[in-house]
Amino acid sequence: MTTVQEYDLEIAFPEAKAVIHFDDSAYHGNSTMQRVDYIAEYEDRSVFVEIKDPDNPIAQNVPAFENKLNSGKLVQSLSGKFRDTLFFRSIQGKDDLSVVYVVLLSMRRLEAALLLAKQDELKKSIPIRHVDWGRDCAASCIILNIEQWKKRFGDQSIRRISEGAV
Amino acid sequence: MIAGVEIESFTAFGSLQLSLSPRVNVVIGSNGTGKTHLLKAIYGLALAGLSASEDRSAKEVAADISRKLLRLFSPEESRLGTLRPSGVKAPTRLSLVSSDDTRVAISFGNRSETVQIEADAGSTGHELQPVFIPTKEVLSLVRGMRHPDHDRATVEMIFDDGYIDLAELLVRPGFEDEASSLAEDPRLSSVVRELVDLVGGRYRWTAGSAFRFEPGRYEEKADPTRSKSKMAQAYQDATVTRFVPKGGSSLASGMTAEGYRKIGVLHRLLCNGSINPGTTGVLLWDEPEANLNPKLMKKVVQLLLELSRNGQQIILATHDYVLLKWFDLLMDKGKEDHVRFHVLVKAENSAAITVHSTDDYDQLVNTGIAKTFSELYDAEIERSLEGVSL
Repeated sequence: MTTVQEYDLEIAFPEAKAVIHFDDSAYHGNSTMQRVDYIAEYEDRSVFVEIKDPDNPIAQNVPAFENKLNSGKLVQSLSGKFRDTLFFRSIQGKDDLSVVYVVLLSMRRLEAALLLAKQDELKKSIPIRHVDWGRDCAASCIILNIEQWKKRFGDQSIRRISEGAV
Repeated sequence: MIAGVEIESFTAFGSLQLSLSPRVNVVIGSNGTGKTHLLKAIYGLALAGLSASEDRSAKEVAADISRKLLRLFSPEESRLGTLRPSGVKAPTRLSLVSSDDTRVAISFGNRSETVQIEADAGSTGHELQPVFIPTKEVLSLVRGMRHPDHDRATVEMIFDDGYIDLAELLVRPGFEDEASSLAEDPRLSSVVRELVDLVGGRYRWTAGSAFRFEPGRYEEKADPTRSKSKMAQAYQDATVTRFVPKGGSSLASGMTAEGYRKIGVLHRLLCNGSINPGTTGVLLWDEPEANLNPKLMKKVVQLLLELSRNGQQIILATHDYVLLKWFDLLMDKGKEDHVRFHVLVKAENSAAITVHSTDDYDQLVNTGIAKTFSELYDAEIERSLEGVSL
């Protein structure tokens, strides 16, 4: 089973064929391409995973993150990461799979209503569909908090390292 | 200020005690938990306190308040006993406790023809004129409600006294009326200006006995009565703020958006002194969100907080997440803002209604409003991630 560690979070991908740490500066060099943190590859789909964790007890500069969230720049950045990653994969010849974009936004203060609103904004910002496209550019796109992540993928699927065992 | 409310055996309520914030109180709860009844009960009690302080016989006051309660709640049968929960023997008792510990109480039984009122004299809390703003907009209805050709009994059958009392307050002369000699309260200038900006104009009571909407805005101009040298000495004192009409002729209030008319009601009550922090009593507003574009809500919440900072006690009832969240986001403890949430809940296995009050917004996670969004979020995730595992 592949598990990845992103600062204080450990995430398991038990069914993935491969999990690529995509946001790797050494791999991308000086390009200004925006990139999602991980790409998990499965037989019939790819899952792009972007992790935002201001609840991390040692998170730096939470007020700056809040500003980004409130000003709409966070959604802009999340959509940019998705588009650039999709572009990269497409040139790589890996664009034949169905893509699911999952953003983990771990911020306890954000209630369901606000997460829902951000998610709707993200879908429009990417955009998921266009009148001149033959198909949607993603099968789905969702923003989850840790609670919903566990509910959806199981209690063992994610843990906060600083809190010890699941 | 009203410090607390106690209710025993009244309409949907068994026994209920509320401790109120001197600033802003927000009552939430699903349909049928008695939010409007609670607001009307507080309004009725405040009116009883006001009447008892006037120079009239106790008998007259009791008869008036009995009529008022029936007119506010408009039961089918005009009898006080119908305002009691069925099968209850203990007498109904409603009390308001003021911040100086004086109280006013109304009590009655199944067969009472009039209520009994006990009021401590010399209170600074319950002897002030309360204002109740009901859910529906009233500005455009005032003309019809007060028209001399309209039969009073019919009007009263359609509108309860929540509406009729507000209509009476709205037609009181205001400083913005044609040929008005009233002076504006400087504490409220900014609130009044912002309300006008919000809807792009103001509602004025006209000679035609109706409200008309006049597009325009307030602008600061040099005071023509002051000389230039004086102006240089004190620029601030040398400007006057005047309403500048624009965009042609005025409109009948009924031709403007209903949400705008709700803002217009607040504007009007401030302009004619019906809401005057410190001089008038509690402001009760039932569902401010009804017919209001959610975009306007941020400003409405800012303005309500501003009024409360000037000493206005406010009690709102709402179903609206947007309103609640703006209070959470905009309240500023540095400005001594205080918001208390009162959650009315109907017990699952009985009709009993209980109240849970908290000053902490985060405690509201289990309310119907928050749950509705959780359900939506769950459904959205379910649709988006159907068949997806990691």
